[in-house]
Amino acid sequence: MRSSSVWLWPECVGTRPLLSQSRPAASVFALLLALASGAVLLLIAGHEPLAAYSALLNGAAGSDSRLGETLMNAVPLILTGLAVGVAFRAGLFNIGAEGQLLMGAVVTAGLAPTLALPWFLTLPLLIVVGGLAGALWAFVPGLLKARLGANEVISSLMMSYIAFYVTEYLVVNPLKAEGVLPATELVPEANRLPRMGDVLSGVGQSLGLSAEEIPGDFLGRLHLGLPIALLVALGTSYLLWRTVPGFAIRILGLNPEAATYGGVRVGRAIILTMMLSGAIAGLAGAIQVLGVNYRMSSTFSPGFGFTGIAVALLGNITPVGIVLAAVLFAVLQTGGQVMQRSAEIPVAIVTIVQALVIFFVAVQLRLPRSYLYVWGARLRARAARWRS
Amino acid sequence: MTVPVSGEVSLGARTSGGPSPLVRMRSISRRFGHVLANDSVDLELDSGEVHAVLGENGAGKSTLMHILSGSLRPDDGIIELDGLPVRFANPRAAIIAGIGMVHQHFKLVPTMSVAANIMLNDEPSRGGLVDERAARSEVRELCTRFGLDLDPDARIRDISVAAQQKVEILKVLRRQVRLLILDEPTAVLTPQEVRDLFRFLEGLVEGGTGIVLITHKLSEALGIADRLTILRGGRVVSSRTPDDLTPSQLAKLMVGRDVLLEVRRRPATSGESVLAMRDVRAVDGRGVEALRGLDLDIRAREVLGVAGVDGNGQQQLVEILAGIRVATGGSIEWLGEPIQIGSVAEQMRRGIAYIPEDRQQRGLIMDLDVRENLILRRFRDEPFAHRLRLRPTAIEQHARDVIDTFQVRARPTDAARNLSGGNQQKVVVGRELKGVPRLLIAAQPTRGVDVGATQFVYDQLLAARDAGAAILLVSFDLDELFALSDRLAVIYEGRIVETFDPRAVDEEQLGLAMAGVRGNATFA
Repeated sequence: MRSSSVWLWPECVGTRPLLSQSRPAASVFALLLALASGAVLLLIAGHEPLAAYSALLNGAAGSDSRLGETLMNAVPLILTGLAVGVAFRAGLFNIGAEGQLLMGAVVTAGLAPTLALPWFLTLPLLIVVGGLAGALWAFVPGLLKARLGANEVISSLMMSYIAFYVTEYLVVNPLKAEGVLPATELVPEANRLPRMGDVLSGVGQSLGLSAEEIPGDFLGRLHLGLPIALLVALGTSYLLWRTVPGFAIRILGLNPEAATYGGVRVGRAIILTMMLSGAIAGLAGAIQVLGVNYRMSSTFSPGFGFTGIAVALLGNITPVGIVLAAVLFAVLQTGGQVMQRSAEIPVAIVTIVQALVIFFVAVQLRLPRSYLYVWGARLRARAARWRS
Repeated sequence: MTVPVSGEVSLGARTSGGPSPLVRMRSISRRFGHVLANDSVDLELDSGEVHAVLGENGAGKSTLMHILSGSLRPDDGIIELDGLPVRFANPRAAIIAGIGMVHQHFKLVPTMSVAANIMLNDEPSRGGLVDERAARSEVRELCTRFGLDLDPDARIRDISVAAQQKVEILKVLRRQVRLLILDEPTAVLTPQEVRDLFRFLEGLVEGGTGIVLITHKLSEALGIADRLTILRGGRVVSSRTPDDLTPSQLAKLMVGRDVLLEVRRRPATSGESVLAMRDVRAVDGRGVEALRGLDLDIRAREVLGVAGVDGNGQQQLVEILAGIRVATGGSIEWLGEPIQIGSVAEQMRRGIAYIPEDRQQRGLIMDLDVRENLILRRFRDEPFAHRLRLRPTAIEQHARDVIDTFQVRARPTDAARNLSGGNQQKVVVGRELKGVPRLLIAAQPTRGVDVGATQFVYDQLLAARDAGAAILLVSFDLDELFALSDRLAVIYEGRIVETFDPRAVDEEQLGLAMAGVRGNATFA
């Protein structure tokens, strides 16, 4: 009896090898290879690689405000990485995190200027609404996949295009603020996410510390979004490895046929996982609006959702790995800007290094462990023959 | 020193004088990871004889034959053809040299015609286009030459499994092979079809072709083979003529210890009706009706065996009962009450256990450990979960219990992937039989399992029966069906065509029923 259940799983994009082989060493190895290749490119372009990388590192973490800037840039990547990662765990390739993020952002930005409630109500409300918008946007590809077998790679990407133009329309027309910029009204000060420096000095003061001991500009523009993102990472980790729905998500991703046999209602699980993924991406948009941009504009996202795919891959699809990978990407981007200014090295090199990291991760995934083993065994056999 | 011939086959100088066998494999070794699949194996194959290669799963017989047919390369050792050392870069090279293999799982294109499949990749052409007329007439000519009856224009998906096998064999014979390797060729055939195949093979042997038969069916090997080579743990334990070897002696050689070939069981004391299916209908993945009005009754404390050639609706029957597939018509009664089957979870709650036919694809998740695999179907339930939270200690404890009770040679934290086939199956059986089910669906419960573990699975099934379970056994192994069944139902084209008392029927009658020839039912 051959099995006839035909699940169009994204075998083409290779989520399965990722789920079955957890190897953080591969990511580190990929990073080193990418940096080495980047060094070669720098040499060809007539730059000093070591100087360039040290300028980059200095730019990313050379002072506490720069470090704050880097961590701030890591926040949306942590969240989009988790969004993509959670779907990956269920064997779903949510390539549309960008669209879900945009929808979360625009709904939050549209609502934030109109709310005048106490902050402890406003902030959670705005964040939740952003998450809901993202979840709703991801519901569509989830439903199409569950009911019709439509490939979520295509439908979620198409949903991103819709989101892109819908937000474009909203910020140019109904939600446009006074002025020349195609952007929404600024979020009033009271409804913004507080900066970490302010939070920490507030905490310090309540503990009786003086203002000098905890300067208010500590960590620059870094805001409360970082602890929120870390909490989401922790929650995701708990969900996947300690709960019943998490077990269902994981077995669905590893072997859909066995998951069906195990009583997982596959269609429902696909829809719910896509919505969870979309909610986390929408959250990223909401936090970015409330903590960084304070408004929605047509140039709001430099592609956080797409970078999230790379972050999830590099992070081995584990929450801890995703946080580290997001910080790494933020270091490259933030430091890259500074490197461009101080060492006059084009920031494009950073983009190339980022692409190469993913390239090398992907190449290693396509090389099963057994290959490496066989090569090793052959080499050893040859050496033994040579010795005898 | 070897010299390349026609690019892919390398021929060397003759190393020994005197008459040499057709093929001589000398101290062939091949390693996969930590497993030594072949450990300096020697094998001699002559033209004009049937050579059976026997061994349990993992004994290394397939590896050895894949090396001989060019799809694997040995780490060490020499293959000699007519006394000349040869080296095959790929299966094509082997076939040029006259060695062809028919694989257990056919490699045919279902939507293409018989002729197209036979000619695949070597089509006669005219002006750069495939010359279909020439292809068709060549196939006709091949059929006449070898005495096979095939329609060149029939599509592969429309012909029987036995006919598909003939296509595979013709594909190889067309290349004028001198050695034909058949991997488990009888696994999917009815007894009559097996007899036809063997008669055909004998004809080939008379014509001087050498035949290698990979099999684990003892009687078959003893019946047809001129020589036997038995592999165990990657080594040759015996290479001999069958003479007066008995099946149990042969089994002992294969396993390395005494094996009980008989299943000792008490007579059934079948009880109340557990399941009654009436006029049940279902479609397969292509939308073709696979169950066409199936009637079936199972009572408590009995094993109902379902015999039939693969693809006659067994899979749909099993999947409907497991809750994986929805029936398109008919009615089902459970414990005397009409029911609608809603979901897998619902069927599990009813007390229906299910040992799937494919443990690696459905029964287990290879990347998860034994603990997690043991809760695969119960992870929502107490004590493994409390509300939505998993409870690791209860899960761990359960794993230890099952490992003890079912003698699984594994630790709770071992990944299923790293277990032997037998131990993997014990995990599945242990999970499904922990706590007696009302109905157990056992689909090929011993497929790819060694003799020792097979014995264990049989004991467990019969113990569950004696404890009150109804057992639906679906199998392609007639010996297994005869050994375990209290009643034998034959499924053909989506219907139960006859039901037999296994003590009052022989393989002949069963085979005819499996082939769709209606006889008179002897037992209802």
